[in-house]
Amino acid sequence: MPECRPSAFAATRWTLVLESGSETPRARAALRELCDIYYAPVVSFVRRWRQDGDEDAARDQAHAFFESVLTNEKFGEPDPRRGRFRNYLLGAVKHFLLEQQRLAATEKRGGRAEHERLEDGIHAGPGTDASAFDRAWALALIGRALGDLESEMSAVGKAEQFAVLEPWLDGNAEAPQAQAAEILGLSGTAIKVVIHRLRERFRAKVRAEVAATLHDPAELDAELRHLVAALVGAGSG
Amino acid sequence: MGVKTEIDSENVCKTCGAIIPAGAPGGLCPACILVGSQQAAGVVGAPPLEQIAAAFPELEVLGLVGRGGMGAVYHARQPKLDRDLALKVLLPDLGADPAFEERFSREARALAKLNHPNIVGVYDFGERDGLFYLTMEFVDGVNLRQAMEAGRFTPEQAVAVIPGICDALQEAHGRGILHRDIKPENILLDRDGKVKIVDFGIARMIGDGAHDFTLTQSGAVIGSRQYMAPEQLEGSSSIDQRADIYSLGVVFYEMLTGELPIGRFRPPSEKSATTKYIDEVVMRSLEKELERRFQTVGEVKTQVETAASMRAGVAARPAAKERKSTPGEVAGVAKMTLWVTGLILLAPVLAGMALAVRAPGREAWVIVLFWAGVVSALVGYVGSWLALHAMQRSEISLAGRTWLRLIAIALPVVGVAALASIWASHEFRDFGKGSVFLTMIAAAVPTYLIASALAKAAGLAVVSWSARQWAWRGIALLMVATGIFAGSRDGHWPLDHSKLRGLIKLPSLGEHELGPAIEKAAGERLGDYQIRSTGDQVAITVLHETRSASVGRAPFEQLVKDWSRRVEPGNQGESVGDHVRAFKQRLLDALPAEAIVNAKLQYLFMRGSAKDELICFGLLAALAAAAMGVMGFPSGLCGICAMVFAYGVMLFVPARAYPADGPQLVRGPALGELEPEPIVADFSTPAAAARTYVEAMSRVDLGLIERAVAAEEFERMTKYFDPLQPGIRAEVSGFEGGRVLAVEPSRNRSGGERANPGVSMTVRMVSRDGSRLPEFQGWFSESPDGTWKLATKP
Repeated sequence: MPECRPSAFAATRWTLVLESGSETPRARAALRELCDIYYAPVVSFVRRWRQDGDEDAARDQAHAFFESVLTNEKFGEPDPRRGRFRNYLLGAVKHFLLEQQRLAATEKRGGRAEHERLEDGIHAGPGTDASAFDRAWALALIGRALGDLESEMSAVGKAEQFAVLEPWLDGNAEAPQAQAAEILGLSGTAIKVVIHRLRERFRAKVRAEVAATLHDPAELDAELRHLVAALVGAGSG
Repeated sequence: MGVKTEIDSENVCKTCGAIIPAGAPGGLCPACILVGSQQAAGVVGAPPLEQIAAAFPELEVLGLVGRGGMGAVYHARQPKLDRDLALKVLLPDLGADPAFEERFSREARALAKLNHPNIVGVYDFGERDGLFYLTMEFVDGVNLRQAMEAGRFTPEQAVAVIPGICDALQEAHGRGILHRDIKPENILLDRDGKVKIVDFGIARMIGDGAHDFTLTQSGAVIGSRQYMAPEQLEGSSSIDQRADIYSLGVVFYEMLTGELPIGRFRPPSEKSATTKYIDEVVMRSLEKELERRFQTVGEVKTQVETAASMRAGVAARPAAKERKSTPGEVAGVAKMTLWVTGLILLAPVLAGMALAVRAPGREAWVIVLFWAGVVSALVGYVGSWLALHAMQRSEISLAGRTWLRLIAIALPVVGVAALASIWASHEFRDFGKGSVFLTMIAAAVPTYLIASALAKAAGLAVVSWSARQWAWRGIALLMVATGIFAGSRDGHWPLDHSKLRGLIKLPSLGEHELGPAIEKAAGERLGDYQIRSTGDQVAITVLHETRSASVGRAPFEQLVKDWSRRVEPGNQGESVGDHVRAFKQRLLDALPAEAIVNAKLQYLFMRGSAKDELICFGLLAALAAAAMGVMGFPSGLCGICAMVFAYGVMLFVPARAYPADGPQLVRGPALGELEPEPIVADFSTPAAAARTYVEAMSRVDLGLIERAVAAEEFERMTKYFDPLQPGIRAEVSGFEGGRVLAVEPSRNRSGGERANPGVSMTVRMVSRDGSRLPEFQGWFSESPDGTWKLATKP
């Protein structure tokens, strides 16, 4: 792995991709990285789309999709729709799946007629609405930030601190800290300080991950709000 | 990744209520994380680091540490002095106010004079590149807001923080500086738990007087409003240190409960594991009326420390390490408590076993058992104190401490009082005393428990500490006074005198005014001897006949008790019977001629008033217990123990002196030679026959007895007789030296003659050593020397 500090990329990934196109190696690496992170939401989206419960086929299709993104897409043109990587990816994967479906249908019928009616009577599986994708997106994002934090803490020898204090990272203030303080050998006040600092670090990483998927940093708050809404509005998976 | 595994079932986040999806990393709530990340984004608005670094070339600006409504705080290093400092930069637009600079300098200079370990010190201030700044002591920690968000404060932790804040405020107030903006964001905690207050007087720098913060300013300012005292919000011109006290109260409340005290808020003890003493402090700090609030911060600190010491040991040390609990302790009872309780409970078991075995020879193992019980109790008791001491020093877990306190304090008090009463009862042969004590316990303890439970349920728990103290003192005083009076009356106050008076105040029956006569006989002649009995009870009944058909009964109730079994010098040979005869004599003298009196006067003082006494003392005890129940444990329970113990002492101490100097129930002239009066036999009326018979019995005039028994009217009269006829000497073989306690006249057999001369008597005897023997009925015949001997057993 060329760089073990992906957070250096963080603020620039999608921006980099959009501005440099997929021509430069750095941009390609950035795009690959983004696809890596958000692999899971795409896979589950494809799985739900297919409805046939075939795990492997879904994964293959997802792979194919990412391949097509990495090889075919040209990002050179500024496009307001592409301000957020998430939106872009969702649109791209939908397009891809519909296209695949259409091709399969046409092949069955024989011949390769070009039809432009993408949304035509094609059934998508349940849960293929945007909010399900966004939820999976948020989880992937957080997972990435958490992993980042863990490696960072291990690198400075505080792996135990991370392991013990992980449950408090989401802002949970009610769980009793006495035992955790005991394990880490800290006083009741010191542990509050440590938790606060860890949380701040984690939140910074989350923000950084979100920012990495945006072109305009001013959209950070809006994107966060959108993701929160998708999570909170969750009635069913 | 995370330690937690994925959960498939529905998992709801406790903080935001959203469902935590399966597959959420670390099991953490993603919604909360993202919301938290939103708030963390605060760099907008603060001057960028480069600008700051450029403005302060002599400092190494390390980073932004916080942002508030007034400006931003940076962590910086001063290489020249090799120290860390906090650089606070005020919002640029504040400088637009021309008077600002003057205010700023004035306040900063005043602040720089504040030098206290709990106040963040000010090093320097000034203006650079249009930015007004302060350099301050750098605190490596978090502010109270961040600490509260990191984890809920336990009451002990919250209480530990307050004294430091009070010290800081005291220092500032002493120099005439008010903070005016006490809130969690301005209270810093370093890693050691030390408290440091920051932003003193900033409010005055920014604005003028109390109109510092309005709703038109930034959102952070509105937060300050929630901590502001009412007089501050109203814009009153005279704000003093009590405004800071109010803000402190709000912070305290928030630390304890996690909420702000708005509207009609519940006291902290109802929302967290806080004591009522802490409640007091918080509620008084939050008083809307200035006069009712704490007047100085020093008062707050004292109250808090007093309140904290009510939970001895833990609050004294901020951030004390809690010892890890084992499952037994987590269940609420420490091992020590279990041991102590076990040892103490073992003691009565062993002692009981020992006593239950009434081995005639006092075998060794019985003695061993008994003493083992004593040792067990002592060890358990000492252990309870050791355990409490260890808890005080946080050496062992605090579980079960309340129970231990109960054992350590209440047990000896109640135990000693109980033992004293038992001993006194036995010694003075007055089990009434013991029963008073037991009645009080029986009345007090359940009443206390019920009262305290009801008070808690009714929400009466919040009674002010000072009121409680005064009430308790008053009750204690009342109890002691009652005890002293009771003691001086041999425990019979407040009843004996009234009873005595009441007893003698007899209504006139018919035309015969017996009251004055008896009163005269009983009360008038006060001599220098006492009536004592060496028996148990003396029954004296007065009967009289009215003109009406039925014979009225005018009970004259008194009881002569056995106070001492020791024969007093000078009283050799006297018996109660002699005294009673003398008394009867006086009475007969005093009565009008036409009154027909049964020479037996029966009085039952003690039984009646003993019952009333018990009721009276029981009620007193219940009343005190109810009052204490409302006031709350542990003062209540301790109060009851103290009260009961005081009574135990008071009641028994005078009793020792009683036989010699105590009040006398009946006094009369010195007993001289009593000539037995010849009995006038009168069998004309049933009453007369009865009287004659009784006289005969008392003199053991056999012939007269027979004649009385034979009289027609006798049968009707028997029901008026009490079988007690002390004084008769009888001898029963095998019970030498015994004394007849009672004689029951034999039933009149209808017709027939008796085979043997003599009198059938039911005899209760007491032997010389005082042990009572079962009664038996026998046929006694008179022997030449005047004693009655058992002839045959029928």
